[in-house]
Amino acid sequence: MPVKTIAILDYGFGNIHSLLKALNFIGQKTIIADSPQNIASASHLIIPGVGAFGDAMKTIRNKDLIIPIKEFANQSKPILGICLGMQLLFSESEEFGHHYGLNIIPGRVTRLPQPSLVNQEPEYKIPFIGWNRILPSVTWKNSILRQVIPETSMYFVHSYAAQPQDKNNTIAYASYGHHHIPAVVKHNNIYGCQFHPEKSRASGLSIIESFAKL
Amino acid sequence: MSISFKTLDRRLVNQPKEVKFCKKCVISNQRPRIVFDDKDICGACHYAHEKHNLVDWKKRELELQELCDRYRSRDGSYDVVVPSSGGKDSTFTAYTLKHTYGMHPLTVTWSPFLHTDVGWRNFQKFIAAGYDNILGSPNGLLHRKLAKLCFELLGDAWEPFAYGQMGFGYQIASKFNIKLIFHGENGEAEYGGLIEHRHKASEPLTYKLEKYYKGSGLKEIVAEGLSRNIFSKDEVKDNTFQLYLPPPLKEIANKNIQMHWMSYYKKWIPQENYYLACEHTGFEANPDGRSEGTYSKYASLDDKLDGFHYYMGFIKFGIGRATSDAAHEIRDGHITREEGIALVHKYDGEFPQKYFQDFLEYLDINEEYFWEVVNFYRSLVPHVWENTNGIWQLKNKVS
Amino acid sequence: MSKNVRIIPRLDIKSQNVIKGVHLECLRIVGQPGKMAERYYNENADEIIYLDTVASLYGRDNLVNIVSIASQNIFVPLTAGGGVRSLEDINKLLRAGADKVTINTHATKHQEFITAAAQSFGSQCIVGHIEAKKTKPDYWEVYVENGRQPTGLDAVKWAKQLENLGAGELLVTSIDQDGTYQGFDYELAKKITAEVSIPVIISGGAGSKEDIAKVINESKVDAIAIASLLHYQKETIPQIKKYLCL
Repeated sequence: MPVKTIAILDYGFGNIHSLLKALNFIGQKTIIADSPQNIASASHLIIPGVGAFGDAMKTIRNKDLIIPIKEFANQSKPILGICLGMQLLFSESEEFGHHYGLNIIPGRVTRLPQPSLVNQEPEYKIPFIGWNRILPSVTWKNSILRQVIPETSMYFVHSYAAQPQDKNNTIAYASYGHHHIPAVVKHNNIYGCQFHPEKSRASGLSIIESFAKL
Repeated sequence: MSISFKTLDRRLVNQPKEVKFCKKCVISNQRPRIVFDDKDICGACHYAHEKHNLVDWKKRELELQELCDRYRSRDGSYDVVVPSSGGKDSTFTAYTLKHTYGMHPLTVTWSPFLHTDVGWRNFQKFIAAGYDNILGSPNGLLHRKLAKLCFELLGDAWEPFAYGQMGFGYQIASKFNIKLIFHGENGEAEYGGLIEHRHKASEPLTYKLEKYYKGSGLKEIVAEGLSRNIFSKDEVKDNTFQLYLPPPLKEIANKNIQMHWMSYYKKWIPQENYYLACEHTGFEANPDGRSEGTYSKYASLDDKLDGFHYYMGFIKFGIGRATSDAAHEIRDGHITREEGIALVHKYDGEFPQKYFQDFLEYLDINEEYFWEVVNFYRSLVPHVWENTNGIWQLKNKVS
Repeated sequence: MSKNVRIIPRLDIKSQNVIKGVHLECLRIVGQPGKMAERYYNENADEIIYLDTVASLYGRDNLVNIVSIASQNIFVPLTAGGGVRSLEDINKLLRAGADKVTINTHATKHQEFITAAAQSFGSQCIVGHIEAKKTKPDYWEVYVENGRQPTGLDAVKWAKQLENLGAGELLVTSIDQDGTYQGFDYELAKKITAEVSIPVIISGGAGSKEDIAKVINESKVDAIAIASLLHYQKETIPQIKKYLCL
């Protein structure tokens, strides 16, 4: 059985430290991957992300990481994109202009819908910063959400959200006013979490753990 | 134009010519009367160690209890005078005596030269919190003339305040037949000075009159004022300045009036006094943020001219307000020496610009004269200052 | 949908200690950063805020070290700030484990810094920190350097300006109320939340869970940062959350 190595993509965007701590906490060996070689050698890849889509893609491109990531996906090895990392998996984004993504999951990244007013107050603010409950679009039994109890709150920080072309890719959603926003997407072995599982207490950690066990 | 100045500040000739800084706090050996040991640790730091580690505070509190039991009035008449400014330290002292020990304080305030807005508000809040108070304001005209004289003759316009701060309390105590006066802290012990009485509840008034006041007293200043025709002979007679000075020593002895320091009975931590004042009277820190010349916001806020007392201290001794604040905060463990040094470098000696015009107007002097006096005093301490290409700089900085 | 207000312990740091003052003055040591953060995490704090109060005197590595250690066992968002002056400072903090960074002093002198930071790291990472003091009726002034230095800026206008420049969130501390347990500056909270559309964290003055309920009801704050109330254990996070039905 091949040795399991979780690689965290280091492209200069994202809280590597937090993820390392989370993986350490659940007792999982981890490497930092910042070159085509160490991406290829990993068994799992996590793409973190905090920052702007355009800048992030530019950096990934300049570091020649696009092909290695796509090859990783093509080999059906598990990938977990977190927050911006999830958005990068998609085809394109409209954040600060128009930018192309990794196109591993077909779909677009768009700004969160304008909140409606309820009692003269907007239902939510953009960026959305805070805890929100996630609900199943499909059963979570065979996914990395299998240890999570539906309606558990997770921590979201974003102004943009990804909309998969195939609605079946959304396995969990969160309510923003009366809108349902994809919270977790799954496309074969590729997962995306809009929220930060490494910042969402024990439930969040369980997602990372389940991912590591894939 | 050169004016020849004269000084009556007799300490300046006796200053140690080699500037040294305490290895534990940031104060220098230029502070008058301070004692440094052979390891360059100042007396205040030694005292702080004793204060925090060796003094039996429970025993001291019992002493306070016994003292109060002996002096407490039964009919609501005043049994203790507490000189108060409305600041944190006197608030703490008055509060402790009244609420913890059941005394009946008459708080006594010797007016600042020019009350700041926040100082006045704090003073009013203090009274409103439940204290009797007598505010003593000396003759405004004479007070200004004294301040002006003291600025030149002592390098500190603030000195007339210092006279009255001590003297007025005794005057009122005598007039009301109150036997006890409680000041806040023994400044010599706490901040670095004579250590003889550091573990005593009080010191004799004669001692104070002899050792402090820069080696000259009010009488000498007045005499100089008369000889320069700043005072006319009609204006100033023997008893004109009676409020500034304590009553005759015989009177004090006969009435058995004693002065005690609260810092002898209760471990003195100015920050804790601030907390109590905030809670008890709604004490307001400096609304402008930090006070000029320092980083702190909570001390010495009531007089517009205060900044110049500290500034002249900086001129004469190289010790500014930040140094004084940092030194005692280091000793009480609130900041590290490293932080204190950084704060001193950043803020010490900052010119108190805010009330400069008020200062000049109050003393009826112009800016040119102000700087001439300042530079005169700088010239008296050539081991503290050097002038390179017209810029004055301290020869030594704490490190 | 019921308002999901975040409850956030605010830990003011000086050197290796958590400290607390009154009106941001006279700082007492109340504990150790790592231990206290862990305690609050275990009590279900929604986030943790670390503010370095003497950062203008020293380099920023102290805070980076504290964040690094604290984020070991804490799996909720961490915001850190105090003396942040360059993109490198922000990067260091984020890589050490902070999720968001607060900026106060430097932004008042170099407004473009907020924009540069937001563009490099994303608005959601950048929290504009405003220390406000009421200096006239209906007027609050912005202070910097832990409440020591007035700036002459109108706090409410400055809040809007920070939003325009790209800050994703605001942390608003009332200097008047800080450490007093007298309740929040409700007027300040109302005015600022009416002015901006980004999330606002209000801080300073919480004396009871009733105070917290009041500021949530009376203004549009999105989060509450609490210091003295928690550090001196007058209330706990579970008690507060239970009272607020969170």
